[in-house]
Amino acid sequence: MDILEYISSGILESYVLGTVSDQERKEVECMSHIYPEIKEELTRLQFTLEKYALENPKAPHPNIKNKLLKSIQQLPNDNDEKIIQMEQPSSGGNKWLYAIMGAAAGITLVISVGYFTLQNKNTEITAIKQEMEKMQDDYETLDANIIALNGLNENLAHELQMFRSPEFKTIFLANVKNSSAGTLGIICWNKNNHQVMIAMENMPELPSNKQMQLWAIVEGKPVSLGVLPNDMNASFKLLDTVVANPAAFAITLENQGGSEQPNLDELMLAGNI
Amino acid sequence: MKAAPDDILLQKIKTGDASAFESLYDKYSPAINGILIKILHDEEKAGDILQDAFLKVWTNIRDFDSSKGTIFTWILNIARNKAIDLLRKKSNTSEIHNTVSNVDFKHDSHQTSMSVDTIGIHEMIDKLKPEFQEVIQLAYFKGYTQEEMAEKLNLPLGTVKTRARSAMQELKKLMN
Repeated sequence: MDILEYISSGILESYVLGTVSDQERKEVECMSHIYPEIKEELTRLQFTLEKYALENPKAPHPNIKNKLLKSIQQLPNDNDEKIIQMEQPSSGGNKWLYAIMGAAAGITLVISVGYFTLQNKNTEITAIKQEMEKMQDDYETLDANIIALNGLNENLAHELQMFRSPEFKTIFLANVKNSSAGTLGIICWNKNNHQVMIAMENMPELPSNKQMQLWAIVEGKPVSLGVLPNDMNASFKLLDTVVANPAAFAITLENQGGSEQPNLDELMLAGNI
Repeated sequence: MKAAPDDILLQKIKTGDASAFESLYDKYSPAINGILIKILHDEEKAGDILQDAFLKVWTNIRDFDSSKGTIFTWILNIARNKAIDLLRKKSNTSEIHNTVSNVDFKHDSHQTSMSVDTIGIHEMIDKLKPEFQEVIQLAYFKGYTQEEMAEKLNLPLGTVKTRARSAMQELKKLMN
């Protein structure tokens, strides 16, 4: 992704001037979210335009304010019912963390209420002990989730860097067969060291005697890059084999252990560089 | 009295704090109003749109995404979109094309500004080439699409796009 090319295309100027289509607007917002350089330029342009437009501020008639404040009071007050949200810096991991902690707080509350309704002291004490053990388990699960989320966060940050680096070519493998509809393969091929990283979204269920095999098409011929584990997911895996000049990548369904030549009847996903 | 920072106001407004909303209005309504007047050339209509826009800000405050820009930009976009919609609804195009200030858009209200700041900006704006001022006027203050500008200016679409970019880049240089 050539950031400079995107910036000099003029789409950012069109965005701030309001002449972009809905589609383009969403694209710019997405790009701005991924690339800080784009966001920076967009902010500068927005600021420039606002400064230009703000030549003559003019205090509006006081009646307007009165009418406005009256009308907000007359609205159904669903703002009041909202619990004050904890605003977090937009980091995906933290949102989940707070959702989980909120749930844990809820569990704690339910447990405490249960405690107070018990009559017999001994029963009470036993019950409390049991609840405390359960809470301990819950918190241990939470801790494990937090560690997993932190790991995920780190992976995502790393992957984002990889996507943005000019060293890597990203190739999307789209499904060619109905049985793999909804599955997407993503390959990041390193132009310098020729390493291949692969991730899969929505990997289908495979029969136990079959495996997916990844091929690179080099000078018109298929070269095996190995079989893929059946539990592939959206985290990138680095493959052992490297490939110097792939023209395309493809995934076929083969018998367990893989084949020497690809079974073209079972071509599942493919994509060109 | 120093205005509260926007993020604090935003937090409060999200919990239904009407006086925080009032502070937001006090802070930004003159600027927004000024731009609406520039778009609509009608103080009364500008006032109506201003009220509608801020009402929408109140009811849709949860939609505001601070990662996309400032709250001022958000309010301004809401207001501007409503104003442009109003402009377009007017089937009588003579209102858009024949108003006096339309003829001399470069010196809109030039005589009435008094502050040192606005004089500075005026000088900058005067330095901006007329064809650049024109695209910005048409796109931003009149809500023309690129196709409409191409037609009006009798230029290829590509030229309109590059001119809009050049105009903004030039403006950016002048402002800094």
